[in-house]
Formats: sequence, C-alpha cells, structure tokens
Amino acid sequence: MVDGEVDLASRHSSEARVDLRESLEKAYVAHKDRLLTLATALTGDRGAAEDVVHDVFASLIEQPRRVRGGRNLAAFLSVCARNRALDWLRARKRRATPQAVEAVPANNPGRDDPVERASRREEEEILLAMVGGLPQELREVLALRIWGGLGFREIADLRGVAKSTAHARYRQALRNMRTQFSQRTPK
Amino acid sequence: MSEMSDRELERKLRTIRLTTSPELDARMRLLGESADVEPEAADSLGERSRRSHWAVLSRMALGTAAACLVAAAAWWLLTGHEPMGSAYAELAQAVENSQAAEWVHMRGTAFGEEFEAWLSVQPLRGFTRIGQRVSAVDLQTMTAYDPDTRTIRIQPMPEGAGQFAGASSFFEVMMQTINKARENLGAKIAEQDQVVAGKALKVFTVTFEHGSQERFTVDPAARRVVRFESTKADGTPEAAYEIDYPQDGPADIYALGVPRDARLVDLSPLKEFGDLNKRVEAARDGFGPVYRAMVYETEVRGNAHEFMGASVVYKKDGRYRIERYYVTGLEDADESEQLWQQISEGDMAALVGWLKSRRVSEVEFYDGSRRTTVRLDEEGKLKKRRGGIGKPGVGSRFPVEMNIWGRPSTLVTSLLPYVGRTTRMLPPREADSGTLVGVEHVWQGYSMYGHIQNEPGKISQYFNPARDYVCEISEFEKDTQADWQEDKNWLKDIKNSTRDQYHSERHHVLEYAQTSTGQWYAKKIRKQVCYSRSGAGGFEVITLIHVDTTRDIPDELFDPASVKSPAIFEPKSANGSASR
Repeated sequence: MVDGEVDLASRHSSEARVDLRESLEKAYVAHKDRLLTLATALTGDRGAAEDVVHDVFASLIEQPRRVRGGRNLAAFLSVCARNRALDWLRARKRRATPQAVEAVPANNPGRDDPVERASRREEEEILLAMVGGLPQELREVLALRIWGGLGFREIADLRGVAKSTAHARYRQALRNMRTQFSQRTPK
Repeated sequence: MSEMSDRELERKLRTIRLTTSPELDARMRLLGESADVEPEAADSLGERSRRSHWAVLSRMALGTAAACLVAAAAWWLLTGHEPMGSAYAELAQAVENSQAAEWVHMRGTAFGEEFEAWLSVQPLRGFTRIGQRVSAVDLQTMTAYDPDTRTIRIQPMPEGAGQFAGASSFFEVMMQTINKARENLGAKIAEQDQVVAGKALKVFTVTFEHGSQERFTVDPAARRVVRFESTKADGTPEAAYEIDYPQDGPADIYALGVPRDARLVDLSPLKEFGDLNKRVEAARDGFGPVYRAMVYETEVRGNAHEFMGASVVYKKDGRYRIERYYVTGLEDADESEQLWQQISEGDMAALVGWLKSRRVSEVEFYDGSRRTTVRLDEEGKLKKRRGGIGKPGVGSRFPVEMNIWGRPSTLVTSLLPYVGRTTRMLPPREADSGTLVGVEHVWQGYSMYGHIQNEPGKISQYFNPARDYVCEISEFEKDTQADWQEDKNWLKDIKNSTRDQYHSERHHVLEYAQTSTGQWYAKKIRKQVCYSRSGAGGFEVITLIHVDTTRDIPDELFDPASVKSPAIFEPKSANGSASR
C-alpha cells in the first residue's frame, strides 16, 4: 500500500477492524493538514474546516468500502472534503469575503531568519485570504488543484465541465491572485 | 512579487500547510474509539508511529499487560469450541494452571526490541521493560519511565480501560471480546507435537482469517504455557517470548533498573477531582429523563446575528432522536435578525414555526448502545448509516447535551492525546449565579519527526453547584509560546516553522432556566473563539436552548424505521452536496 493508503477491503473480522483503525489513524495523520488547508481555502473558516476534516474521516470510518478501485485515497478524501465544504458554505450562505486565516510558514531550513519567517507568514496569510476572495468557481478549482492534489480531468468531472474549462479557470484564478498581489502596497 | 510567475505562485501556495488543532485530533481519536472496532484489549505490544513519547510509553504499559492477558484469554477461546477434543482440554488446563500461578514472566523480543514482562492477576498488576523503557500498570494507574528524560510519570488509567477494572470483570470483558473475535475471526487451531532439548511439548497454532498466527507452546508435564509467538499474515515475526512462573515478581519499577533519582511526575487524579466528577455525573444522570430540547445557534457579526443552525433533541429512557437543520432557508439578514430577536426574547413558538416550515438535514438516533444516522444520498434516497458506539455528540456539530449543561457538559477526564497532563482544583470563583467550583488541566507540547504533534494547552472548567453542576464557564487555550510550559525544548526540532500557534475558545453560560421539574440547564451560552493573542480573527456564537420535560414523546419517534419519506429532508444536488 502507498503510505497513507488504507486497506479497506474488509472490516468483517475483529482483527481486520483493529487493522482498520490503525490504517485510518495513519491516513488521518498523513492527510489531515492537507485536508484542513483545502477546507480552509474553500470555506474561509478555520473552525468550519476542522468540522469538515472531522466529517470526512467520520464518513470513512462508517463506509470503508467507498474507496473504489482506481481511485486513490488522497483524491477520494479531497473530493469528500470539497463536498462537505460546499455543504457548509450553502448552509451558512456565506459569500466570498476574505477571512483572516492564520497560515503556517513554509518549511525552509536554510532560511531561519526571524524577519524572513515573519515575512513569509504574512505573505501566506495574504495569499490564503486572496484565495478566499476569489469567485467560488475559481477558488474551488484552485484549491482542489493545489491542496486537493486532483488533476484537471478529475476536477472537470467533479464540476461537470470540460477539462479545458477547468484548466482555464485555474489559470484565471492564478492571474487574479497575481494581479491582486501586485496591487498591494508594501508595508 | 508583481513579476511573479504562475509557477512561483503555485509553489508558494503549495507550501502553505495549516495544522489541525489538538481539539480536532482529540475528536478524531474519540471518533476512532467509538467506531466499530475492537477495544484496546486486542492491541498488541510495541510502539506505534506518530505518537507522543509519553503516549507510547503509556500504551506500551497498557498494551503489554493487555497482550499478556489477551494471550491468556485467547487460550480460553479454545475452551469454547464444541466438541472439545483432548488437545483443547489440555490447553485449557494449561491455561488454568498458568493463571493460577502467582506470576507469569515473559522474556524475548517484541517488534524488534528486547522485551521482558511480569504479570500477576492476584491482584492485577504488570511490569514491562523494552530496552531501557519501563512501565507498570495496575487497576488504577499507569507508570512509565522515560530514560531520555529520566522521568517517571504516573497517570490514571484512562477511561474505557474496562478490562482493568478488576480481575474478575477483566476476564469477563476479555471473554466477551474473544468470543466476538471468535465469531468473526473464524480462527483455526492446529496442534502438533514438538521435542525441545529432549522435552516433549505441544504446539497449538491459531491461524486467524487474514493469515496472522499465534502459537502457544505447552509443557504437558507442567501443564503450563511456556512459549508464545505471533506473526503477521506475511510471516513477519511480531513477538516471541519464553514464559516461566516465578513465585515472586518485581516490587516496583525500580526493581527493573529505573534509577531511584529519576524525576517523579505524579498525574494521579485528585480526590477532590473525583468527588466533583461524581457530583457532576449524578446531576447529568438525573436530568430529564424525558425531554424535548430545541437548540438554536447564531453567529454574532457586529450587531447582526447570522443563523447557523438548529436542532431538536428528544430523549426518553436513554434513547435519543436528534433532528438537525443545517440550511438556513433565510433569504436575507433581516429575516435572520427577526428570528433571532423573537427567539432571544423567549418566543420559542417562533422557532417551532420556523422549524415546521423547513426540512431536516439529518436525523440521528441513539438506542442506548449504537447510533443510526438517516439522511439523503446523492440520488435523493433515504440512507441509513449505522455505526458509532456511544452517545451522540462526540465530534458532532451540535453536541447533544453539551448545550444543555454547558460545554463541555462533564469534567474532562480523559485526555490521552495530551502529554504530561497535570490537573489541579481551582480556587472558587464568584459569579452572579453563585460560587463556582473549578478544575484545570494543563498539558505539554510535543513533536515528532520535526513536526508539531500537539501544542501545549490548558482547559479550565467551572461548575455551578447551585445550578445542578452546569458547566458555567469553560476556557480552553493552546499556545505554543505559553509561559506556563514546563519547557520549550520540544520546539527546537520543528522542521516546519509552526512555532507560533494560538487558539482559544471560551464558553460562558449567560442565562439559566429550569424545567418544570426544577432542573437547571443552560438557556443561553456565548462561545468566543480566537486564533490570535490579540483577539483578531475570532468569532462569537450564541446558543439558545429550551428544554421541555412535560411533553409526552411517543416511543416510535426513537425508531429509525419511523423515518420513511425522503420528503422531510432537504434535497441534495447531483454532486452530493446540499442544494442550498
């Protein structure tokens, strides 16, 4: 199995159930932060994003056989997170208002200067806020591509659009963000 | 940045990684434990990756003792086969003899490390040594020695460790566990004779459904088990140890080489804590026992109140039915505000009227042992999902009864995911409603593989004895830079520079109400969440609750089969998400 993959083929035996729990634990540790970032990008709400992550794995526990052949776990979890994030958005009637989301500075062992770190953190907060400010169609494609790890074909199937449309929306999202960022006045 | 390419922007975005809060990690752990998996007794020896050092030691202690006793109890498994051949009778007798011994001593290897353990069932206690790590368990506590820090930690036995509640009950639990395993495992048992150093032995090999095996070598002359081995399905050895039966065992962990000048950290529960817990639990048990509760949540945005959701909870004879309404159906802010004003002024009829005009998002049932959730699937058909052991509320969006009695509704007693937990009773706190009694838990941060696994945190809970021990104030905070940490060395090896994390959550019961039978509950709760020390970036939620204990609730309401029509549910779109 690929690291993080879960052998969900059988959960009828007690031994298999113990294996299932251990496999799910590994899957949670392997994917939780990525899914949290994806869900936060989609919802703009950290608390809601944690609920999304929880619900995704709760669903996995209840229905281990949902992982069908040909679909790896990472992609499956991303789609689940996306669906639940959309449920939350629709329930909240929340529109694309950028939220202040605390980002995690990137790992950069060779550049450990505190000023550098603070600068990176600020930049990432800005970037996440900008993602939250994108129109939902663009935001969703961008988030699924960057943090969901989905290919354009998968995103297109999910959205019910052509692959070229998914690609175009992705490029548009990046263009919007680059434009927004270039218009910011440096502090 | 203005000249940044798409590729560069992509790279920057990909490096952004938020980390889950310990609260979520704890919710997931509870979820995993309440899911349909075998209890801890089925765990085997050894460390698990991605766990805290102390959690590893604690689980080692539990796992070792459990493994020893699982191995012993697994022998009982064989006695349940019908018809019982002579081979099984021999092994059964060997088991009885083994259990009758004062001590069971095991020595060998487990998961690639040297291992030694002692176990006695009269009274139940066990000691384990793996390398230089030493642990001990008894009915009340787990003790673990960490050679890296030369520290001994004594912790209370975690909740749910029912197998250690008492020797007689332990074996009853184990028998139930093993019998369940037998039903599902379809284990096959084979016997063969073996001669070792001129001694005639019998080997019983138990092969489980997925191919893993356990082998018990019995000395027929002594009528005792003398060796145990286990292998994974692919043949990889897991554990192998020789077993003998000395008259005496270790008196304490120092007898296993733990230095006497090791630092001692005693996390055993305080008597006052136990007393408070009993009073809180008694108040909870006595609430109701039949009621309908309506719960309404709204987020405060400036002067406006945005509807978040509502639920209706029915309880009767330990059973629950929870109807959840996620979608707002409120088309504009004015409608949301009007509904809030009506409900906040006590007009629950307004909420009832609103609920009647809406369709539910899901209905959850609890029959005293298992949960069933009913909702629509992607095709708009009813979908019933069974699973989850334990009362609804753990990890759910609208925790049942955590609203009625404050949040958390009971004392936080099990914090296994949290390392180095200390507990202290707080000085009494004066409130308008009376004098509150409080308890505080503090835990330390830890990291593994260069990543933060748990931020240090604390939670303080204040209960109101004059209000049936409702949790009036709960304050939670996690802060990687907290000054109250024992030390911050755990941060130094962090690869991703997540050294500045902050999250706080405060629940405060603003108003109380009483049922018609005089039981107190939280009528209005304010929740304040913050992700920065400055207070920026947070949000506030107000929860209103109304409990009616006079209503006659028909029994069929608690039957999942009573939900027959998809029409009562909010329809979903083709891609599986809610339509609104």
